[in-house]
Amino acid sequence: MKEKLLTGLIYFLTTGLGIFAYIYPLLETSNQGILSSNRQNELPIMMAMILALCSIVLIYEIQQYRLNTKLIALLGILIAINSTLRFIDLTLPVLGGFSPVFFLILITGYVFGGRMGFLMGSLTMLVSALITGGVGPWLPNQMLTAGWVGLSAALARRLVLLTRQENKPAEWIILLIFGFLWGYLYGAITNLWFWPFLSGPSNQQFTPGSNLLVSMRNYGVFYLATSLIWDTTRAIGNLLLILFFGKATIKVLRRFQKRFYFVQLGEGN
Amino acid sequence: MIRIDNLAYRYPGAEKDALQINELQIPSGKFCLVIGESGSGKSTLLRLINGLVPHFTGGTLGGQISVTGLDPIVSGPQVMSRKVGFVFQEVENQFVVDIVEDEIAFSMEQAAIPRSEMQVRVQQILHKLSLEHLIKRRVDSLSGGETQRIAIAAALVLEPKILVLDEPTSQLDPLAAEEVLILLKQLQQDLGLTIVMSEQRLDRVLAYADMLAILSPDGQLREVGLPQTVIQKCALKPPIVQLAEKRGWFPVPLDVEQARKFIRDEKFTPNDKAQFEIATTPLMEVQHVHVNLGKREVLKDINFSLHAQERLVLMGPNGAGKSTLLRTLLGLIAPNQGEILFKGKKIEFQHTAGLSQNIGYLPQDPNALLFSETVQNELETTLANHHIPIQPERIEHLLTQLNIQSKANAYPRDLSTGEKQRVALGAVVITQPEIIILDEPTRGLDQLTKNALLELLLEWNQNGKTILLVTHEVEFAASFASRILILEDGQIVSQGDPHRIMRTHPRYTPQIARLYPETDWLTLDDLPS
Amino acid sequence: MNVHTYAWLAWLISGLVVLTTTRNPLIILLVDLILILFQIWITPPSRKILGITLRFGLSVLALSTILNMFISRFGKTILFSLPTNIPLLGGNYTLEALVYGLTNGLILIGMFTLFMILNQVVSVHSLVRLIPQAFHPVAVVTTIALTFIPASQKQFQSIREAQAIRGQQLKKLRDWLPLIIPLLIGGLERAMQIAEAMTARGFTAQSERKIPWFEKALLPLGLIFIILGWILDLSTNLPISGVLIILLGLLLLLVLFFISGKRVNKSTYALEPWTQISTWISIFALLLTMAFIMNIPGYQSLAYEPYPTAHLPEFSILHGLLTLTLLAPIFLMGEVKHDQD
Repeated sequence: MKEKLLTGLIYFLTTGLGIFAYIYPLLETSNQGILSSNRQNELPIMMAMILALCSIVLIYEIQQYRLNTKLIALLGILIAINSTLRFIDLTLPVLGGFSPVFFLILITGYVFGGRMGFLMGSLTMLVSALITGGVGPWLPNQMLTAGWVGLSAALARRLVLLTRQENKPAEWIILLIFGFLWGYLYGAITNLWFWPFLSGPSNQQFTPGSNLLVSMRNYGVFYLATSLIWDTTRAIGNLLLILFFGKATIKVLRRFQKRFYFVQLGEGN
Repeated sequence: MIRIDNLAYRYPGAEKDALQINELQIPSGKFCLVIGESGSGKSTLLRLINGLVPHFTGGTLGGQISVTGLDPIVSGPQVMSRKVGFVFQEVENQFVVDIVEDEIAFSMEQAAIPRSEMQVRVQQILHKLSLEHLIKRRVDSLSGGETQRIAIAAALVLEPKILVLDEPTSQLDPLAAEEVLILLKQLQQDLGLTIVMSEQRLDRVLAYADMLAILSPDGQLREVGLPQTVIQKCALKPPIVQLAEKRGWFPVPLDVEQARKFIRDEKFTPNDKAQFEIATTPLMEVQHVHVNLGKREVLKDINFSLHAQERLVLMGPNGAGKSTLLRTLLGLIAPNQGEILFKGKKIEFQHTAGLSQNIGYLPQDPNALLFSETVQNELETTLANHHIPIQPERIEHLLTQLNIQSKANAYPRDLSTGEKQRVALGAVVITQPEIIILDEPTRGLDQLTKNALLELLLEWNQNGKTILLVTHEVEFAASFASRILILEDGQIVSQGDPHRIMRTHPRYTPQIARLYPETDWLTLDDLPS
Repeated sequence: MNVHTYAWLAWLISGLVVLTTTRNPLIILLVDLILILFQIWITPPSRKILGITLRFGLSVLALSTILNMFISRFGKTILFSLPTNIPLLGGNYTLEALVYGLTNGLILIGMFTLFMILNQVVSVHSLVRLIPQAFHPVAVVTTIALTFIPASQKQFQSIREAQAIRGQQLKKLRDWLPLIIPLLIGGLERAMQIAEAMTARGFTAQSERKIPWFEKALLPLGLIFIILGWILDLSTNLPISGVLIILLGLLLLLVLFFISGKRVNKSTYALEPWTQISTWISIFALLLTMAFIMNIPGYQSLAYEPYPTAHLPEFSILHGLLTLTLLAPIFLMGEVKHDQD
């Protein structure tokens, strides 16, 4: 019980810190505090550091108490497969922000639980960045957001179990909605990383009546203008992947689940 | 060294014991060979020695086991890793890191050995196995034999007393397999290693063993002792042992060398040389084909034909280009030069999907095909791909032929290796192709399953199918082939009558042919009774 | 000669410090040019990096400028205005906002190029090695993934061929199922094999020892301190106390990672030699970092503010010259090998 409380607290705090870090640039802040000196350029770096901190803490918590050798190998292989799928040249026309990686992240979280989902999401982004030469200050942001995608799949699972919709159409509808929403949310959240560059708070102090609402409106316009179409393809892509491959993939993972979750005698916990 | 008493082990959720051993002792410095059909618990026995069973697999276990004075059940795999080196069956899947030296260092890192010592030990073990030149190579760039030897190096770097190997030669060509076995014998002698090894292909390894243990299909240790005595109680003996029984030779010879002394005064009259005739019309013609993959020329000026109703066996070392040749025949790779004709028509103008209706192809790994929920479904998928209406009786007939009719509704991936292979075979021949091409179909099969496959293929051939297969297994090839084609380094070095070809190439000579070099006998069936 | 990963990190940090402490468009433009030159130098000519960088740079500049002009309507130099009755778009568009937006874009280009160079000069293995000991399981996951990506691609290829040979064609998205499912199952089976092989070779993920409660408490405690510190920092006028509490929180987390890293009883085989060049590059990086955070002559010119009236930024020649030290690795390394990655 104590253990559970402690873990719950960690998740609550990191999620809170992460969300706050994301919306911070949208808040009206006057010239005070370490994050709002006259030179606003460090804001993205600061943000990257805070988000990296959140990811690191969560990754640490999960690996410390939950990972055994089988799950380590499982994650390594699933990430390798996910990266492979990413580089397959689909013979189908692929547009915009479509990426097959979110499908497996969601499904992994759904079957193996939120923690595995989080690791699957954040480490997929890490490995992708390593092999494509995409390591940069945007990486913590991608890792945390993709981690949230996997973590949130546990919510979908809970929802399904709570409403006893397992193996009923509603299970698929819930998953489809999750996939579709994350298509947009992922874009909306990761784009926030650029936001301080595009409208830092020092800029806003010259914009009379600037507040959270105005910032949100501005961000909304920015998002609509730059990312909507891009993210729509991702949302639809997720939708189609879950629709066509969701059932079969979940079935395969379930078949293996028992073998991977067998507690190893020598490894405690 | 290794002592097992009254042991019974059961996998989690299983209804029967997977392994029962009343008493087994393997003394220090011995080479013990473990044989048995698939599913007889060979792998389970091997994994008991280093504690993987039950620590990795779970399940319930009773009885005593002692390995170098330790109880692996109490100590667990981590402690045992310093006493027991383990080489797994699918070697390429056991590597964690991609560079040879890092891979060899992996177990030392886990044992927290200081870096300076690690560097010395990596050098030493590579030197011992004459593999120094591979130190910086990527693991996936190695040949089959090199990969196997690197895995052995990695298993030995912690200087264990015992080396356990799970079918180490099953994926190697005859030469590479021979080299690995010689290496093992040498390590046994030089380091005083105790070696425990399981194997399916007895003809090759029997003579290397000091001890032989047979497991029965229900997981009981049936027999253990000197190979000469124990082999007689084995259901599936290599040809030389079968011959020894027939002739009453004693002590039973384990390889051709040991058998020679018995035939010194044997009188025999060689058969009349049967005339080798090339049958009927060519179905497929390969004319001056060159294939480059990247910058490398993989196939050089390949010329041959596949005739209707023949059984052509393609042999050659790993990396000779056999798989590339098959893929070229199927139109998966376009030749850089030359032409391939199927029934007189160039295949480059034919669609792979269309071509495959007439040519069935079983890939090396049958798992690449299987994805359906049931066996029945798997076969129907192929028909649907070709827009052929589904006829249940045709499917049923084929499943009966393949002896998997009882598994029609099973999930294909849960079946045994042999069954999976037959499902995959069913999935490619359901269109009733004229030609069937198989890439190393005996890989991972036990002797019984191999024999069943041989019978089935011979029967199909009798009924008019043309069969082309690639194999490393000399005895299988000798029993099957109506014609042999040997590919080395991308070139056909010889083709023709197996009775001639197989004895002119020492690597591909079956035991009986080696014993009677003056005759044209290849298998026991060729011998006059 | 090789440059140690830590030296590259020092170089990266110095670059980041320059880019985050400066809003002077002239200095940033200079840094961008230097970095682009650097990138061209280390990239094989066949990859036509200049074109890619220019296209990327121009689109970033355009986006950041247009967006800022749209968001920030403040500034005295009005370039043009749209009728106010047009929703969202109506109002003044100013030169100040344009300059501010351009500066944003220049900084983005600089950061991007900086990291592109890092990705190119530091090998993937060296990056994985940077994962601290406390995160050993994560490092192993990453290593396995990197090792099996080529194998997984090969497997996919053979599945694709095997299915093609049984007449399967890829026309619709649904046709990909026979390819994805065997890939996934094969992968899962392989994962079991790797796990088994790792276990046989002495790998364990968790230590046998029970983790003491105070260690478990360090994680949430550190987080609470950081959040508390930040809230304090934002809501009161005593910024120093907030920063201190944040630092305390970070310290707690570092202590935790240090303790649990020590517990990982494993050694490392791979060794990256420290070279003389590495020392030099680190010294130059330190020099540059110090120069941009200390109040030396010209420091004030780094903070350029276009609002309320745009004016020509000053250019500190000293700082300009200092940014040239970013090119030090090129001169120290000499000829660059253009090997395929």
